[in-house]
Amino acid sequence: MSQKIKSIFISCSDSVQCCDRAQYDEATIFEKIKIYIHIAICKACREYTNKNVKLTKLIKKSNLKACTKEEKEKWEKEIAREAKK
Amino acid sequence: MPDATMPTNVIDPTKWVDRYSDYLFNYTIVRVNDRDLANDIISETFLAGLKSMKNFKGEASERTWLISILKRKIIDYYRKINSRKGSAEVRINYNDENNEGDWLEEQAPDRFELNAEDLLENEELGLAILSCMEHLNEKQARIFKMKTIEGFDTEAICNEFNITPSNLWVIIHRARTTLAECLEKNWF
Repeated sequence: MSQKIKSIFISCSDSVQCCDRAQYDEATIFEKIKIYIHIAICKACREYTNKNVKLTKLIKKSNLKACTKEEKEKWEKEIAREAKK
Repeated sequence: MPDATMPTNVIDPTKWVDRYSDYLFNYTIVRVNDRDLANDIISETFLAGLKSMKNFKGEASERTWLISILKRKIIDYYRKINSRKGSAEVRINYNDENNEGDWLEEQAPDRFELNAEDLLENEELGLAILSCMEHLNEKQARIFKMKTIEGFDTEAICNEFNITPSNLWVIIHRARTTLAECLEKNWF
């Protein structure tokens, strides 16, 4: 098999890693194609990919917000000050 | 020496912010809909928690206990503004022609199409995700939140924690697997 064709087939660990990056839009189109080819023949990675995509959707749907570093520092200071009293 | 009656849940205020602030914040923000106000209410909650620490019996988890204080603080806030609103309302006169604009504004339908049930479900989901994050260790949770919720660049996180991108992806992968497992039963 020529080198080019071989590169289309990726290992499970590569597939999983690309899939994780794809959840953050950090996978190239070529990488995504390779994931699709891999999960067409690998059941375990197919299941992982499905779960991973579902998790991304759930997180998006939940509309979670995070506190900023400054907000957390402010609370930490307040707690430390009050605890000393 | 371990004691048979020793409570299973111990209290540690130095970890409160790191462990629970995001949970408390998301709980509060959907109820008061104002960031600064939510911050103040959480401040009050932490301080009230410190003051009544000796009442913590360890029967509930630390988070449940803090949420019960937070609930009271949110109710207090609404009581306060309701009493203020009451005195303002007396002065409103809808028959006054000059106030026509205000009247119309109040008649306008709500702009947001989301129904209450959707909002409730999303909130519950958000809190479920955060409580599943408690299964992660401190560093994992921080990195996962920065990457997923706050949307920081891979590079920025790597610089802050002094790790390589492949370290970061291993951490993200473990966090995602843990979360998916935890959420699977109720949400998948």
